[in-house]
Amino acid sequence: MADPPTDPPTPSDSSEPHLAFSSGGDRKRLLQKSYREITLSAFLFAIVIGIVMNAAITYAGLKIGFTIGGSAIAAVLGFGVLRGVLRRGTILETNLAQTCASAINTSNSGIIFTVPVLFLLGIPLTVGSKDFWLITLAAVGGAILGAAFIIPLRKQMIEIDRLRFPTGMGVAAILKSPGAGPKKSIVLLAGIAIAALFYWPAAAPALGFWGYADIGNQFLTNEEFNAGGLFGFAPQIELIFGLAPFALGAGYITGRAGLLVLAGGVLAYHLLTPMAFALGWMPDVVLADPHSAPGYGFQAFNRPLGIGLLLGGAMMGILVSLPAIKEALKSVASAGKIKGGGDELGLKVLVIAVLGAFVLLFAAASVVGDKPLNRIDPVTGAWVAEVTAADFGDLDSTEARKAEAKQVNASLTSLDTDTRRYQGYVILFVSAETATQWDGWDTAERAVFMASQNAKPGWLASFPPMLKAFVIAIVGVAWIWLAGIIIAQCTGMTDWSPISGMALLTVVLVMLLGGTGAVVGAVLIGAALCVAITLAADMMQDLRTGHMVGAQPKRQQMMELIVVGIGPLIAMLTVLLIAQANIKQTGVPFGPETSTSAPQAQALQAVITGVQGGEMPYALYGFGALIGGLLGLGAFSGLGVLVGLSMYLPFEAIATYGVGCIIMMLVSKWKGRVWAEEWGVPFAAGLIVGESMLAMIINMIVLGQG
Amino acid sequence: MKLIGYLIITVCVITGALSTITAYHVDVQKYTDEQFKISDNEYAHLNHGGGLKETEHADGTAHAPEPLYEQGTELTPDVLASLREAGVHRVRVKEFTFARWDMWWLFLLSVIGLTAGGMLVKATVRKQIAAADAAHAAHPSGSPSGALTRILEIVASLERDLPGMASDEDRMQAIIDRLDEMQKELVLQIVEGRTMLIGKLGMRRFAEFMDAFSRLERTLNRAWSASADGVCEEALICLDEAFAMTDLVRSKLPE
Repeated sequence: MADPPTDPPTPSDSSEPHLAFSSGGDRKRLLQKSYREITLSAFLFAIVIGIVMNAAITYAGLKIGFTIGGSAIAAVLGFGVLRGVLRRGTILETNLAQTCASAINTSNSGIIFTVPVLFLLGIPLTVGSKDFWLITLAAVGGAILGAAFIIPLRKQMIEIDRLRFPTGMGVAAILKSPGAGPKKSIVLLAGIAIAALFYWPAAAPALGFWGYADIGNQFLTNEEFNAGGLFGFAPQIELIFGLAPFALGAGYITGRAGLLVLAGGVLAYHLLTPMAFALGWMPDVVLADPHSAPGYGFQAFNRPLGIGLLLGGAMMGILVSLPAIKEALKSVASAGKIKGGGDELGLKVLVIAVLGAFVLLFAAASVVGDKPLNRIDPVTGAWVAEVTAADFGDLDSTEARKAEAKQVNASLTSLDTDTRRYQGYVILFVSAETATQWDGWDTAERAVFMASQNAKPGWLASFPPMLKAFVIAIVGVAWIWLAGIIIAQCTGMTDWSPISGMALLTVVLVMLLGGTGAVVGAVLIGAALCVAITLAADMMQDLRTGHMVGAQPKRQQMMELIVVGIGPLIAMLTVLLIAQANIKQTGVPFGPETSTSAPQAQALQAVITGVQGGEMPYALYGFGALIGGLLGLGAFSGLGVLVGLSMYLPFEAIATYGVGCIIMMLVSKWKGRVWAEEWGVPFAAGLIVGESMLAMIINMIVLGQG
Repeated sequence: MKLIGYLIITVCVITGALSTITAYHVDVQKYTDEQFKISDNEYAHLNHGGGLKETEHADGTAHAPEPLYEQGTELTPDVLASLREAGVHRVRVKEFTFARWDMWWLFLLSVIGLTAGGMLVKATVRKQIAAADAAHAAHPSGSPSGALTRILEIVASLERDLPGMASDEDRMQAIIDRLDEMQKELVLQIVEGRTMLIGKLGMRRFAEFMDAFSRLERTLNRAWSASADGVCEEALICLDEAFAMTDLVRSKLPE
């Protein structure tokens, strides 16, 4: 071993490794191999955990309307299994395992926000149906797109703009806790324990145990505490706190910037709604019932304005960040020129992934574009396409409905159907004769039929089918890119991903292009987009974690691209399984009659019927976007994103999140920022893990109980 | 001035957002039948129940509120007359037109206010950056540049001291201890100086600096992780790599 130099060395002293005991190219390669990062055990662990989490959380999402992230759970389990059981997991190995597991899990939210809407609209999906596999294919395409599109932006968001990605930071704190000393591990475990204890009465009623609601206080339910009611606030002013340690932890890690999220919530729920109520700017039926005012305000103006602000804020953010994006792309492009590829996936790989995903999306869109608009013959009124028991709701019993559906479906096989194209739609007829009769109908007669199908012509109605599918796929790809950036920005700044808002905009966009009757196509692109953007956000969180523990981005990106297609398939199969079980038990696939009401899909269904009925407040989206863009003119270009995001999130979520932000600020003031980060972040990460793990365990038990 | 700028922005966001509510909640008393026409023979439609039925149970208790006209009703002159007669002021319509938006002027004022407020904040922040820059020139330790200098010193000190240490355990502990300072405090100082750095360097040069610095930081983070995992050799390789990057990083952020 060489003597230590007397003067500090300079980097230009030697191009070889400077430390005497680490020199030698062969040894370097050998040693790098010895530091475990990508291993078979981590990969297999990730696949198993990812699939289990995906199925359990898909079920939970269909039941309660929102999902939980899998990164923190996978990180803790990864340590338990790889390090505790197999006695070999390194920080980077566990990081890679959680990256893959969460990539497999995350796509479920994209599926459950969109696909069940087809069941709710009476469009049947079975494992043997073409639509099922097309949507799955589109979702897999979306998954690849989401992961591929966001890769070049890692540099911009994580390294240049330094977005916090609170969950990513929390996971890094988990991964680093054993190396950071036993005290930090204890703090992390304390966070997990406190979160689990606090969250138990909120989640355990699902298993029939005692819950917060059993206390008997009218202001306390299992999910939330109505402080406004307790303090005697007027009903139109909501002050509700969600009983969610996760939100508290995420708020803490976000810190001061999260206060702007709270500000947006205050603007929506404590200013706009009460002021509109006080000024009489609501319909009389709402003014007569103050309890309905918050819900009305949310649906009539807060949500569209919020989504608009978010879009405008994000566009301004992108505009301001263009030099950083350019620099990031330059850096990624240069990675391809380095021998061995540098530490980033080169643009070539991304271009191939994007092209591949585009082809999948185009194929799915073109096949769905040829799907008939109608299930009933316009001329005879007879069924021409597959039915379910839900189509016979007027019959008395479930058995009768099922029998009728079976009989109709059996009769369809003997039909010699014919089709016609009209206003960009394919119309299906029971026979060539009825199709000929349709040819003789005048415009008014046809308009009546099209109105009965809620089918207004889209902007691309005059395009040939292939060109239409091509344009929709191009727009879909471009929109996925933009929405991915928006979602990643939101997640980076706040930890919230406004998936439902983006899904809503996507469905509206595709219905405007393809026509209001093109529901399957809209849901197909919507599913692809939702999966893509959730993965974009998840990947950024994981890459943020990777940055903090020193993982090589290229390895994380490659592994994520390899496993990313598994998630949509698992989520689709789980949705189908649950729908079939529900049909068997209640005769309907989803909805209030079942234990899995699919609330987000119900909301999307309302949007679809809203578009069909011309009820969308497009101007509010535009005005919101203008305000959101202008908000970014000041010192912080992403201000519109933060304010807009919180305008359409439920107040109970952002209130608890805001409390976390305030606690972080107080602790920073009291003990200093460094202390608040060093000790507070592991505790906050524990809060995230505690709630997530308990929720998943309970969901798995409930799922297991059937 | 910054506070005034933010106050203007806050007020304008509230008034701007509030004014948009009236874009679809139209005052039926204020506008003529003609202004509700959306084509030659069609009028705007209700997007929520309009008006209120005065109904009571036999025992005098009120029914749940019911609208006079259901959602989707076309606002024909007869319907409008009936709503006006019932004293209804605002109804929510499906179709938007500037001609029926009575608070458009407030929205316009808010847009102007937001622009002015944003400019004011930006100008003030620029001045603050210049002042902070001057202050940091006098006391560089708390500045991003000072933090970077300290990080580079830590890397150099590790390169210098590690070979002389007795065991790998000592080396790994030293790496963890010294890089802890970087991870906890110094990176935070650089990140918190973002606005100042952008003001000083411009977005493009700031991006170049952060690109180089982040690569250095990530390599050091890897050294920390490897040390925590007990893989000393990997940590040392990372330190070598980080050390080789220091000149480049320094060149991207002039003192």
